[in-house]
Amino acid sequence: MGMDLQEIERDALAELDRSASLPEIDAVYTRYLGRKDGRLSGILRNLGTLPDDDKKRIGQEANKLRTILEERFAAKQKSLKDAALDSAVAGQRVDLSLPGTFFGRGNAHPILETIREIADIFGGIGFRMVEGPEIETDKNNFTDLNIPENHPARDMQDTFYVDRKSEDGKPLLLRTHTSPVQVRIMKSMPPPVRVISAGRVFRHEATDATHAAIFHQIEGLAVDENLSFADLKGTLAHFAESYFGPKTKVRFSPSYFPFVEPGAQMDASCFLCGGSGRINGEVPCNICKATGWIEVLGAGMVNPQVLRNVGYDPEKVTGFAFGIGVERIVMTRLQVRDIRLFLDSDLRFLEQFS
Amino acid sequence: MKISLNWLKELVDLPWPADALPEKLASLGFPVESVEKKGVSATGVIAVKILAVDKHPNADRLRIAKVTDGAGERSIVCGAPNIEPGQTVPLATPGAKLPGGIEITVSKIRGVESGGMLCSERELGLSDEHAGILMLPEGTKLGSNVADALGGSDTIFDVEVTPNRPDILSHVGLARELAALAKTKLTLPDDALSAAKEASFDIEISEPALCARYLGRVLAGVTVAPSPDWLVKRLTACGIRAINNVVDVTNYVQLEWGHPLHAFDIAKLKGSAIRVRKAKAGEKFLALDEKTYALNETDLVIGDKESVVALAGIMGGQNSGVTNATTDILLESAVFDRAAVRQTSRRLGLKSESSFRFEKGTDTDTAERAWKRAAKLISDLSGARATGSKDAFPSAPKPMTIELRREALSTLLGMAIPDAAAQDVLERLQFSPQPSTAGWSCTVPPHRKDVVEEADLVEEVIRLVGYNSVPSTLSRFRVAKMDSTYRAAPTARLVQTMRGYGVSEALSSSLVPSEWPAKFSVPEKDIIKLANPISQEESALRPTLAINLLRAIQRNLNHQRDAVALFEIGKTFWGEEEAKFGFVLCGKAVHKTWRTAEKDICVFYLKGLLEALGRDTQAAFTIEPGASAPFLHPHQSFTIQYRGRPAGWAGMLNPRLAAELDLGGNCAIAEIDLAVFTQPLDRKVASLPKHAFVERDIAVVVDVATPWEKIRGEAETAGGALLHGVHPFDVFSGGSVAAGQKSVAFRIRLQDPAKTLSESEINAAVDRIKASLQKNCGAQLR
Repeated sequence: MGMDLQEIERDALAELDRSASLPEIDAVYTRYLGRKDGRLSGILRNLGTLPDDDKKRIGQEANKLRTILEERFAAKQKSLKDAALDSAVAGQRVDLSLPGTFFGRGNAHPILETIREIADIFGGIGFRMVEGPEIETDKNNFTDLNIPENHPARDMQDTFYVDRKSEDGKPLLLRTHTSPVQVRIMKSMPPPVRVISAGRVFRHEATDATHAAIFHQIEGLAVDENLSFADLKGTLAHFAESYFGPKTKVRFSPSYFPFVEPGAQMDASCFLCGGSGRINGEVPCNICKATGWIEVLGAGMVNPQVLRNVGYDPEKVTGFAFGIGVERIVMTRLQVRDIRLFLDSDLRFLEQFS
Repeated sequence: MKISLNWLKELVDLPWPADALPEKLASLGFPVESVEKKGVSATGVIAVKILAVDKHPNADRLRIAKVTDGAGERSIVCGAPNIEPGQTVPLATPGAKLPGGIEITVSKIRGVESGGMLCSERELGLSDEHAGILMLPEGTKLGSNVADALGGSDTIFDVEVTPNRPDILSHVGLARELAALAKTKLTLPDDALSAAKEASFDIEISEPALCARYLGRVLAGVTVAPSPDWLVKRLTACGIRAINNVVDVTNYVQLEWGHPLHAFDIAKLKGSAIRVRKAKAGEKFLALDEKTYALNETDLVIGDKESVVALAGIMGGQNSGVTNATTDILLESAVFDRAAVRQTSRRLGLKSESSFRFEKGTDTDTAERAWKRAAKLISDLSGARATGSKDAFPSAPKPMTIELRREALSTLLGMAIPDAAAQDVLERLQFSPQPSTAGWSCTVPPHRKDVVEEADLVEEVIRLVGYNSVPSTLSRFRVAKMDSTYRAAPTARLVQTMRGYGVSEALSSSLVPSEWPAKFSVPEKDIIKLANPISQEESALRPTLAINLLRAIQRNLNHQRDAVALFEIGKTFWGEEEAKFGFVLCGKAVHKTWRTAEKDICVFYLKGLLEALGRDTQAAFTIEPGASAPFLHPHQSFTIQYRGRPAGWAGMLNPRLAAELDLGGNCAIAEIDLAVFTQPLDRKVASLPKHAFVERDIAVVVDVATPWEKIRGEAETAGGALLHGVHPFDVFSGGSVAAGQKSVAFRIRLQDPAKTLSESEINAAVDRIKASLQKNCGAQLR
């Protein structure tokens, strides 16, 4: 039997060496290791008929040979497969300088992308996104915001009226700012209020590169017990740092909006020159016109008259509000020189925001 | 508001250099829009007299002027055409520095030495005038500094004034603020004039509610003449054209005190009284702008015995204006109701510097100060005698007092202000604070009509203490509970889906040309129009997003684009305001590349996008063939159904409309209610099948009019629970298929989640489906 095993090993390896394809290897495998008629399988199957001494020895040797043969067959198979793949790969040489197959993706509009970005920042500190209609009443847009009839502040916001009237008989108008949403929200719920709102606003104004009759604002409002001007500053500084970068500084100066008092304007240190007004200490910065500061938003403490108008008690609650002109902030940040591009749906413009 | 630094300096001691002023003004709430330097900003320029002018030996266009500065003579080469002997002109001497950084040296010009340069206005920084050399007034001291001779330089600040602070539309007003900030002295303009007698004319106020005060002063013996140089310069610097000494003084005092004034020629007034009254219906008025205005009973006017002589607070009349022949004038200073002025000014479309100021608000105190100052200046400049005055002042307003509570101050600001500091600021701003138990009782000065309650005083305090001294705190917040009425629609999933399929997010105008809604069959009653459009192009609110999206396609095609895919989420106004989602696809769906063939947008791309949208956004709408909209293709359009009602439409654009708009044949368009996409998601996860599916192909020939929908429906019914998909892969007519018939091949997928299907179960299902198609669709099997 020992001789048989040596012979099987010699014959099997010789036949394996002569095999040049996977089917040939399979045939050799069947001849020696095949379950039914394989020569080695036959010996292993017949071990039981041998005397005990032989059974143990030959069993060990036969199993050892089977392991060796299995490994040799597997190795030969792999080398043949690899060779086949290699020859296939050799034919897969392509001109990689040709363009890739296009996966279309639509672009995001820079105004809406900015609104989403800003909404996200305020969302993180508890401001819920709300919205109101674009056709508004005179009362929501002006009177309740402390801009009574014949108030000169109405001149700041020349108005489009539509050929429809509201219940009070006054002509309906296209909202001149997002602030009427403040009025709607406060009339719909008791304090605390913590909301932002974004949307289109309309001004009766001729359009040119820097003026648009239709543009977007983001408005914020917080009303609660003991809210202060310091809270307003902290909230807006957080916004500026999140939006323009952590090193951004802010400054506040007095300004006027009839629905806030005290009213303020916030400037942020220029994100390009870092507030120095010069790039690399030399070239005047054209983002901030070399001033080091950019105008960002208007804000203030909610005017007590507005709180009274919506049925809140200014002795019990205070609030702050702010408004951001989205087009202006985008124009500054992305150096867009013509405001008309935003509503023009020109793909040559939109494709720059993929 | 243009503010002259020289003028300001006469009124207040400024401890800061000029270039520090913009920051100080901004800290007070008056940002400076621009700074302009006026006057001679050159150094080393002196006055010289031209003694002789000779030809230049080497140049035809140049001449050589011999000049003297009173002490010595020099030769100057000059190219200007206007120099003659005897003139006094400015000479930039060697070492002089001119605006723009030019430094003058002794140099040879075409071989002749020139000892300096004679200067034009532009070269001195005075104006853009460069046609010739500037002529100095005769008698200018030779050798003297030209900057001094021309009144020196000035800096003009263009200050932005918010509409709540009309008092700042004046040099006195701004000086008052700066004095409060700098804690320096305010010097008010000189208005000392000998007391006037009671005038011999009468002022009658018929509308005391609309005219709080009317001051009139007769100045007799006026000589109307050009104003002196200093006055002209001040007006010019502030952007006002000089006319004559009387008109110029009223303008000057308006810039100084901020209060509008008017001068009548008394000789032209009929009768011995003027009356502040409402106009009569049909009354006509010829204004100083030489236009005639038709008045009505709402207009406030000044009338004499016969007619209207001025539109109160807006403009005087031609019939009573001051001319060069005027000798006696009536100087008016009044306080008119701002709403009345505004209404009339708006109605007549007549605006003036005076109406602008009255609309913003004036006060009875400043009216008197301005009136006195103007009378003083007119007397000084025109030799007039102030002969009589009348002050119609029905009831002097009571000063308003407001309590500022210490606690309100610190609560609203979020910081404690020491009592002494608050008191000091309020005093500096002339609020005369009287300490009270809770804080201070403040009296609002007459020029501060904007201060009406406590919060206004809080702003006053912090304005001077400085906004930037308030700390910055990110407060703890209570989250507000709110209902869904105003909650913003969640559109992120919709936006991401559309972008993922290659459609770009667009925004288009809310306004459309008035003729467009008709193209979309919008009934006239449902078109919401602007009552006051700027142009016909933008005169109606968009009834559908489609209009401006189609116009966007037109523009993009004009820019040589061959594929346009845009979507928009926005408000439409078809009778009412609604939130919509719309999109357009036009041109190529797939471009020809080195490995793909090109494909055009067609109705199946549109349908595929709608199906993908439904799947990705989980919006449970159905796409049903046929839409009644006439702007869509009659055979290639859909109605979007949602919860049992139509919620939108989609389709290829009607070929006639496409041709009219020059959009080509493959333009798809859709608009769906936004609400379809913003419902909360309701999803359940199905357990995963453990057993493999099998697929079989079936091919049938049916009547060409049999819709796929019918075949699919039959297959699904017959296939029962085992059927998990029916997908058509080949549809054709002609060839071997009989006329009026079509061949439809489709693949079915069969699966039983509980076990592996046996061959007999599979065959039974296929046979059921085939039999059903034969019976119910008249199908022949292939």
